Amino acid sequence: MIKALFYKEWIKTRKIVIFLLLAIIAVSTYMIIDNLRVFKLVGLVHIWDVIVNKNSFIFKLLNFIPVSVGVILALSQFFIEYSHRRIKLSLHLPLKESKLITILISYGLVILVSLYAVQLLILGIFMHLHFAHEIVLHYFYTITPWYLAGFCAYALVSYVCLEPIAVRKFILSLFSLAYMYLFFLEGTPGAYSNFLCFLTLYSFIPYTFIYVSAWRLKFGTE
Amino acid sequence: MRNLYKIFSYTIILCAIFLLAWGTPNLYGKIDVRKTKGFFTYYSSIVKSFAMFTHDEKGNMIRKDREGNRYSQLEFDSILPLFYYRQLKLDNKLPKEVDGHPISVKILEQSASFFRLSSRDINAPKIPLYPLFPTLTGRVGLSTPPDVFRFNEQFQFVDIAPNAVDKEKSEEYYSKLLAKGFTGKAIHIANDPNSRKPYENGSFIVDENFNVFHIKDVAGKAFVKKTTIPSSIKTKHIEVTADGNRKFYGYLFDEAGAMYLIKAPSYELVKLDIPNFDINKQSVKIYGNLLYWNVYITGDGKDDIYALKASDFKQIDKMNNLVEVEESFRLAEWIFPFRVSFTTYTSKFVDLHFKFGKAKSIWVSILLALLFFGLFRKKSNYIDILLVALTGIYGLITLLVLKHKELVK
Repeated sequence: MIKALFYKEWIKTRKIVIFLLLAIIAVSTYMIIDNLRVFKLVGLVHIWDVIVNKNSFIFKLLNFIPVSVGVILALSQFFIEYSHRRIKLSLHLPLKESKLITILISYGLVILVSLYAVQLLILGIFMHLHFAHEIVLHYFYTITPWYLAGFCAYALVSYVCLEPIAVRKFILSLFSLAYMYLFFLEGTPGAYSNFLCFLTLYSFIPYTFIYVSAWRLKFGTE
Repeated sequence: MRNLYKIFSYTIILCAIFLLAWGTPNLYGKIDVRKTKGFFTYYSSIVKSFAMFTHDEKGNMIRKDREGNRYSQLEFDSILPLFYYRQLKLDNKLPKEVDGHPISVKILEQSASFFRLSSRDINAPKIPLYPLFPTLTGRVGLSTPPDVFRFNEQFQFVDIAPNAVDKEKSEEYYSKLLAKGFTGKAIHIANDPNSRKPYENGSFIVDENFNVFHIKDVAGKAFVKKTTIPSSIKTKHIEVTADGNRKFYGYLFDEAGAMYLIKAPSYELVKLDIPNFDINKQSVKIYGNLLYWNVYITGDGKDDIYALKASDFKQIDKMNNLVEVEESFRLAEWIFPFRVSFTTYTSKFVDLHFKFGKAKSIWVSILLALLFFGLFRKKSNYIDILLVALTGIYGLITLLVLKHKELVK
């Protein structure tokens, strides 16, 4: 059953996933090419100077990419399910609804982890070649909140998509926006370095919300 | 399963309460702006007291001294000749001497000193890589060095272009540091990374025993010296500066909160005659001139200014509580039982800060819980009532919005 559900989700979302993968590779490659051009123009010494002493960040485009990926994936998985009411069929499969939701979320998480890993690998190799490990670590601390935001956005969009009542959907959307704001509070690179443990917990708590929407959908709380 | 549904539902409610505890006081703070009277205060070498910009009772900007004497703009310029010297020169009113010291624009420019250290600069993410600008290169001006140094387990120079350790240069400096008595790890490294400074003062490194070492790149050779700064004062932080008269290497702050100047080239410490303060919570700003230094200490409930003699940094005058806050009835003290924040004025790090409200807010929370019980006693449960009692207005709003249908059915 698990394999079948995974396959069903893949059939449903494969075009989007391939698009996201190509987009991630394209954006990462663009950022690298752009930075290589800047290195050639101004020199690596100047780049290290602005990164170390002026707290500059060279991957400005990266800011909202993980969140966008999370949102698009969640919409591709759950928006169609809800808008065509297919999810109600799935919820009547001979499977506990909590297990079903867990399988669907697991699929999303596997895809998200894979997409983020591709981007981090590309950028990580580039950073490792041109910068000291202190700078690489500093950048890791800077971008981690954005990737956690991506995981969180996936959960919140799924939660909102599955909510059966329209008014409540609107309220939960506002709640989700407020929830996400924490990830983009402080723009200083490395600002979240003391906060990542809490932020990780904060990012994954919304995965419990999805079950609430699914139960409300199944047991008809309207 | 029903229990799990309840647990997850209350998780959503608790998260919503958490967000309200963060957002509502913030929003309220933007609406309820507390009026403050801002001051620019500076010690006058003419009237021998503090002169300031402030507001009168009607909110108009006025210039006066601490004794209450008011001045026009031209008069104000004249009582602060060591600050407004350019304006006075333009008006042909710059005196030839002040307190027996001859003055000119050139003399005042050379003796002017400005220093600022904010707690946000201390509590900020930093990359532990430090440039060491070469000196005596035969060139006018400084050029950014092609390498930086780090001091983790070992002292290392990293060549930027190949992104590789320069073993020879690293060994040269590290062996000299060890020979001078450096022990253990570096607990603090200080330098001035600004490439536009007039000259390079090198870097200071503090070891585990609070010994302070000074390193410089002099014509391509390693200069390493163990300074005479006593380890007993327990150096906490050093700010390296490059002021015009080359008399000082910078400022030193010890664990007790005292502030010193590091004299050049002797490394003798000159203590500033001001009370100890905590650089992690408070900020310091210095406007110095030929005769006096104005030292401002702000933050953590204090806004103080001290006037020190420039010759020996002894305090001659002080003024406390520069910022006046108008007291008024604050609704926030009644309705917010606690608040959550993630940023502060003293740090660039994001962190969780939880603060209980005033005790009077408990009464409002209990009142709201009784109101909630009265309105929805048939549909609510003891958990909801307890939630409102503990979280006050946050819990009430959350339950009314998220459990509205269940409560009114």
